[in-house]
Amino acid sequence: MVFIQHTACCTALGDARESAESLRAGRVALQLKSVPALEHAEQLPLAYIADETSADRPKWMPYLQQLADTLPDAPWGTARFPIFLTSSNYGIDQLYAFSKDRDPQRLEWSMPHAVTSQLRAAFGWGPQITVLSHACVTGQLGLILAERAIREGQAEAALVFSFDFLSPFVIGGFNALKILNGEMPAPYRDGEVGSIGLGEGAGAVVLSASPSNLKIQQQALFNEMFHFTSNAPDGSGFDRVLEACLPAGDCPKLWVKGHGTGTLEAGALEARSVDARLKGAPLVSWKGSLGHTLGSCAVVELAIAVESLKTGIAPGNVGGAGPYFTDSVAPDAFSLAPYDGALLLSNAFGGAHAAMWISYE
Amino acid sequence: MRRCGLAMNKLYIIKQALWVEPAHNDPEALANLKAEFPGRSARRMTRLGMQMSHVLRGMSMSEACSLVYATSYSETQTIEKFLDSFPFPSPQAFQTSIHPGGVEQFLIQNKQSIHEFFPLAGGPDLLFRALQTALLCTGPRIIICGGEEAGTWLLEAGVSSESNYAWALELSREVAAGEDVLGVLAWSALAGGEGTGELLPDFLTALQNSEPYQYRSADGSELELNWSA
Repeated sequence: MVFIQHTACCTALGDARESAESLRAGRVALQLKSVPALEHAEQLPLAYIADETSADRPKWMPYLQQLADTLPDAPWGTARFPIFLTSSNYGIDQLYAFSKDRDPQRLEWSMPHAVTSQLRAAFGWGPQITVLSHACVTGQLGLILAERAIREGQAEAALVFSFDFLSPFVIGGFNALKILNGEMPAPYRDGEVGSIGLGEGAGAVVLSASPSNLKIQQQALFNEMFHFTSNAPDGSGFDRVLEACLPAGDCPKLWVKGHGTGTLEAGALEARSVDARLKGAPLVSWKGSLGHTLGSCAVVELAIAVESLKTGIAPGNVGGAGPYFTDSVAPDAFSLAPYDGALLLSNAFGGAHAAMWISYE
Repeated sequence: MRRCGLAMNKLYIIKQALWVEPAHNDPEALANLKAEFPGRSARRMTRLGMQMSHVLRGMSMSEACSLVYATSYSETQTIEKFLDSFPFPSPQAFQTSIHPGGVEQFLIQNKQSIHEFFPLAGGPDLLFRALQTALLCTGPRIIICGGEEAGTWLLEAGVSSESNYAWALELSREVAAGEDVLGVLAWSALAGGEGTGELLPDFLTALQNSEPYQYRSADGSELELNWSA
């Protein structure tokens, strides 16, 4: 058995406790903002934590330092205490800036291995760091490998450290794909126009075999590989990851923190798949407020879910009124007392699906 | 086959494939590579995507197998194109610049769904990381693969591979009686991963020539490649 020992995050709404509180109050962090690097783009829904970048130190480092300061003492990055570093963008903001100003200092923070070296130097970590990058399921891949490393006896405890911050590279890319547009996202709303918002996030999770009140029951992956940017239209990818994560037959009473970015097709498929497998389980997404924090979303949203468990109340589906694709979408904060656990979902390009079922006492 | 004398992790090599460019940005090699794909596909694919497709084509890919992909720089040329496209960013360049697009191009073209897919980034210890990740995979067969493409202005800046290559190994924990095995990969639990910068080029040369290979770093990391007789 593997248990969650520690969680922390920061979002545009603050740390995990502050984020959970704000979400419960229905506060939306996303704001329509202009992006100077995109000459003809409309204002876009973005949720920044940090100010603009500088050449000597990326804007995200102070926030990663804050997270590192929350970690329990352990020789992180050594053989028995490995780190799974997860991000979809690492220092791409620095590479973008280098493409404009050719300041070579930026390259020291640009590539994943360069970022890893910088984090090691800053936080005193050892070299046992597995660096993962699989778009928006990256954080969950880290959680899965960390759980397995403990279960297999390779590790005594494992740290999953995750971050994704915004830059013109990412904003421009999603805007070019027309997924990010001038509309505020409304996850699971059965409307005319779909859209996502982008947010910044960082999070840390420590797992070990020492019992805690948060047990990982199961994690699962499924990659459709149907299309780069859309899902198999029959929703089979969403069904397959639930099949792999949940027990056959009757399920315990779960609430569901979905992926729910605000796109129409994926939102409808996810909501219907969850409703079919877990009839009556409340489904929420927090990306209508926080924005999509990309590769960090699984870790960030797990930390907020854990904070919600401490208060016994989960935030509702923040950021957009119905009608929703299914009646199971919970628009308002709700009590967790009736539930035995939570199902946490994330998706990515390529039809990648990841799921995590946790139980709590 | 020589018996590996070290108390190490071990996986059997069932298949291997390599794509190594004879010279830097060799136009004939690229033309030959492109010719392997239908015209419309080749136009949309990245160079790394074509290289990865070339080596993965021969693997016994299935939904049940586990896939580990290791690249430090990923789609360098497409990242360059995307960055150059500002202030009017190209949707096509963005889509194909996203890690792990090099392998996804192969999987999506072949409509090959898969349960476990672990794309790694990282530096000189990437081969060790891929092998350690393979130990945590649950599929009956594990395919580990990697590759890089050389950039242009990113190469000049020192943040790109200097060469174009791709490799793939189909690995198994156990071998059935009578099953053909190409060789054995054995490695120690990674001590530090320091100073492994020259490991991958030498390892790929050994793969290319079907030669045995031994690597021992100062900090205790060990890797041994042996071939069946």
